[in-house]
Amino acid sequence: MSRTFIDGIIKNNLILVLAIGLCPTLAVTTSAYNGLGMGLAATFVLIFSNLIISAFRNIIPDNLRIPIFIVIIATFVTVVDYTLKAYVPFLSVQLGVFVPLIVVNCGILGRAEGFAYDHSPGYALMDGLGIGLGFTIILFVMGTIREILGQGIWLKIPGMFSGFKVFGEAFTNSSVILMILPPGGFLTIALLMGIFNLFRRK
Amino acid sequence: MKKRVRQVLVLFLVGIISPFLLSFVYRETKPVIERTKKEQLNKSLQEVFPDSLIRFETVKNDTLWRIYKNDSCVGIIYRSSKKGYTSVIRPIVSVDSRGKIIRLKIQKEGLSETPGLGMNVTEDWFQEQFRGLSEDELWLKKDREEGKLDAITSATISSRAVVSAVREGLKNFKKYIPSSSSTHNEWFRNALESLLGNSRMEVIIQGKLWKGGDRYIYLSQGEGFASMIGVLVSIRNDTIQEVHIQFPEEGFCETPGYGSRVIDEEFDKRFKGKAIQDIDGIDAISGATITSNAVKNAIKTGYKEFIQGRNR
Amino acid sequence: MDNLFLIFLSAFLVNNIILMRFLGLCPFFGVSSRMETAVPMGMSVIFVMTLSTIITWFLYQFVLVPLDLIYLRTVVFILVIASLVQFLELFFKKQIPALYSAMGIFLPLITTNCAILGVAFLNIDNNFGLLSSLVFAISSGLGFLLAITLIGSIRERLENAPIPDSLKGLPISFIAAALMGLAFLGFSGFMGLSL
Repeated sequence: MSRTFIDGIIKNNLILVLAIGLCPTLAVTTSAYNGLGMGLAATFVLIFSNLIISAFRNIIPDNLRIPIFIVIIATFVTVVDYTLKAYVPFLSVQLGVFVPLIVVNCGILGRAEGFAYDHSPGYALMDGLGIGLGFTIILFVMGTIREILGQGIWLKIPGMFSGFKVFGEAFTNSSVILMILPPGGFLTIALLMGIFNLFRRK
Repeated sequence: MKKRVRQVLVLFLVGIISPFLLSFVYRETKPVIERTKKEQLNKSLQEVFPDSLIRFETVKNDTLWRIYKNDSCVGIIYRSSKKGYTSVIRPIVSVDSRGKIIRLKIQKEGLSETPGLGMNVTEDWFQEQFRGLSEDELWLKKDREEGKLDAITSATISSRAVVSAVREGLKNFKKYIPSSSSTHNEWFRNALESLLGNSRMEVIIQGKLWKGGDRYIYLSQGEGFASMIGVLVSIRNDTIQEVHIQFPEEGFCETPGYGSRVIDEEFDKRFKGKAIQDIDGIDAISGATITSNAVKNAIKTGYKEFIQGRNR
Repeated sequence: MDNLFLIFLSAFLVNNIILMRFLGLCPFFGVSSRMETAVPMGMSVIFVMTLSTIITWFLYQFVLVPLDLIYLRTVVFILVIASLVQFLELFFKKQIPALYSAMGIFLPLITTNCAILGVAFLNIDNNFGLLSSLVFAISSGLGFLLAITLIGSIRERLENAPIPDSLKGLPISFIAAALMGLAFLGFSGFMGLSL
């Protein structure tokens, strides 16, 4: 079981290995906090959809499984969407349309179909946790890189914490703005993937 | 056959459970979402007018509020918007009774100017510059001679957008700025005194309805063009004897030179000797129809309350 | 009219759905390695996006809103889009084989294309009317076609270029997309456009 968990983080890493779920990865990672929020939201959906699907895998008819998966996933996505809107409104505004779009994150449907549907709930839970964590880590790292280079601060939480000043004032005033603009997202993911490939080949 | 039944059953179950769960979540979170929205609005209003002894009254939903202190109107807060460089800039601005800017705050929600350049419109030094400026001074120094504002380096378009949003908002809304600061209470005391003279009155409803012999006096309010308008009506045998309309210099929060024509043209005299059912036939003051109607309505609604109070 | 033109410009260039909004990246990188797959994919996206926009817009305005069921938005939309794609696939296969051979294999990929669902959501979040929604959907689809054609032709050339091993494949395509995005960034502020 712990094998499933670790595989979820590294071997089946959604973004770096499978290159799935790229849209939110690039769109919301302008800050570490946003990346973390998005990652956790997706993890929540992943865990619960995995659990439910695996628990009921014997009743779900084979030929109707895809629409049923979609409804289950969409239900949890809506739950997350409204919960964020109610309790962390600012984050919800920042993530915007990408919260409801978790539903089309191929990774989640992929895990439902490829893993949860033929494993017991224990394994499905572990898989959900692992994949979710792997996804969250990448989003957090991307957010961190982009926030630090783009704004000179780290972990700013709007309305609560103004962030660690990583570099001096001079850097903050003339930071690499490109990094928090859309092209910066592409650049960061390209370099992360490149570094990951470098280590994997060895 | 059995398989078919099972499939339909499962689909049916999924179709029931999912919307049921969601309607539950929706019902639970909806009040929280609405409350947070309200709190955020209140918070941003308080940020531009930090004083704990005030209350806000909405004049136009989401765009214009009046600030009241001890029941007198001390200023307004408005929200305006202007296209910036890459997003819409929405400042919330508070203005004092002389028409000068007190403070402004640019909403970060939906603001996405160039980070590090246009985004700096949210910085304190930039917003601080606006304090105490009046409409003519709300220009960038580089655009007009009388301008008193510095633009953000390399972000002139965003800076200019903020300045024009504030200026145009002030232009649109300054007519709602109260021209005086004396209180509603003072007006009310004086008006009551002039109506009563020396006669003794007994209170029927505290602060609302009084009786002296066969004469009744009631106080009522109507919603005018930009604010509440107070009227004090003296009535005998179902005929209006005298009407007092709250004067501008007494906290009459109505558009100066516009709604206040109601006062200049002695609108109150037109009610003398009329029965309540004749009120609708009284001509409104031209150019101040809304205010005139507000006065009429105030008299009518007050009359209804008076009938109820009298029969109690 | 003016407004519709601005919506077009905004969706097509300034807020290009791929390079600026990051919607629909999976098919964008999945099938863009050759021009002959990139172009039909773009065409299919325009087609499905327009159809799904019409359907979801009517469903939302005339069913979900009046019945106070907006919280079912995500569930309903994704089901509608999935069924629409299934239906189109079957319909093309039986009735219009020419279209099927052109778009057929791309259709299943489109269900999980967040651009389709994303545009449906954005239309509602922006309070667009039917006409604006349509213009927005078509121009977003055109923007997708533009971006995928550009990256397709770049990637064809990249195949012969000397690239560090670890950057081969996806990473170098991301870098190409970043440079394209940089160029598209030049459109921002164009006619004061934003969304």
